[in-house]
Amino acid sequence: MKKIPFYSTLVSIIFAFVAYLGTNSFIVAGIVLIASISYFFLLFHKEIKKYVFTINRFHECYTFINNFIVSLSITDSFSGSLESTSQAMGEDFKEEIEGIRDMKEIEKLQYLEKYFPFHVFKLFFNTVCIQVEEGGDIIKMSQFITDDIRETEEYITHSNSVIKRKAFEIGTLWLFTFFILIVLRFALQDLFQSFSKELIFQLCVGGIFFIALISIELFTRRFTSIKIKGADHEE
Amino acid sequence: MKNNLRSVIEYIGLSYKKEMTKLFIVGFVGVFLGVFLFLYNKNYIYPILLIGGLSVYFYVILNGYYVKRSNINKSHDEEFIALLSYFQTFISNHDNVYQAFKKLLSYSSTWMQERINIFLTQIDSDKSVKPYIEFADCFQMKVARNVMLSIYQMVDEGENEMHLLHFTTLFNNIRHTNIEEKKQTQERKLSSVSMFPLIGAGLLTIGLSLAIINAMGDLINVI
Repeated sequence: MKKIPFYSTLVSIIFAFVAYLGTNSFIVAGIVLIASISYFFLLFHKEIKKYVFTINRFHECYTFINNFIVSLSITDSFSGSLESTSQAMGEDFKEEIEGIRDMKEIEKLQYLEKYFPFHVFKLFFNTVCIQVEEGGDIIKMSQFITDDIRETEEYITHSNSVIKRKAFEIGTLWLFTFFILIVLRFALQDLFQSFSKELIFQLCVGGIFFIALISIELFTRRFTSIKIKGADHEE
Repeated sequence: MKNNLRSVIEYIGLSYKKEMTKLFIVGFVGVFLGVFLFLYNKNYIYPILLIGGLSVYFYVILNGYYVKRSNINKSHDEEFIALLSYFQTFISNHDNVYQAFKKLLSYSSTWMQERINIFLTQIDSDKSVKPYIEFADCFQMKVARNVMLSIYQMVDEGENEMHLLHFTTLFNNIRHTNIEEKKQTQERKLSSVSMFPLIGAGLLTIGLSLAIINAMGDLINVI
């Protein structure tokens, strides 16, 4: 996450450099640089940050629910299960729990609905409340919840591997396109000097970078639109 | 479901008049710009490019309405499947069908809440299968009917182990199919972005050809 601004700036500079090489025009290179930097910092970074935050929070939710259910089935103690599960969680979660340590145990779990804003956690809380009030085998009662959350976790893992593969494929195709532009610039050097001044050529080369930014935005939207029921960014 | 443009635009919550006005304004400005560029440059290329750009724009916008409607229907179907998993949990924790649907309201979108409230009101007075079928018909997926019929059997014949098992088996198949479809859809959508580098290369070729033609034209004029 912290490297995204660095890579965004690097890609913007590369775009501007290739645009200059392709058109011999500082104006076109400048426009491409400004458009790229604006896009990456105003839109791209925000979308990625939101997506990464939601996915990480869901991973935490998955870990918490599984550990809590197992712990509760073994110890049959709500407070003991919450204590042992909390110790296995990350720093953000521990800070959250520390902030609500004066609450009653069941209230803490209810408060965590804000930390884990997923429908599955709300359902898990309702199921735990029923188990606490009426008793019963928590593993059997929460079987469908654990199945659901496990499937979502598997879907996210599968998504991540598909995203990496597709990003590599599309990145390679764009690299070839820019490579063709650079080769043309050096291979047709004399001819290039005359037609690089043509407005239509400069517009077309500028258009290539505009299309590149559109493709990055479309790709980002498509992979960040993963649907986790109850999450804020769900469509 | 009606397929004409007006009904599609109204289905997705937009105003037909406003959308047509926007398209008309863009078209008018585009044509005006094309005529202006032609008169200013005395060159056919800019109006041709503008017409091409406008055609693409209109296609994207008009097709976008149908895509939005399809996405809305898909999201309703997905919400139905998501709620069924919660319904399954409530039923297995000894809630009856009415109580389980009532609990689903807090997990539902506004659209779904309206449908569930109508359904609950109907099953209060009508003990036949009709309210279940009408609720299932709110969704595009054909298997919704099978699911609601299975739920009706639970109500009509009692929530015994056999009916719960039948419902669970049916629902697990639906959920598994839904997850596989989601994976394939995502892979297909991400793959379709691969055409953009090809469009970029095509644009480069067009720009190069037009620039060479222009340069050759100027050269011939000089000669």
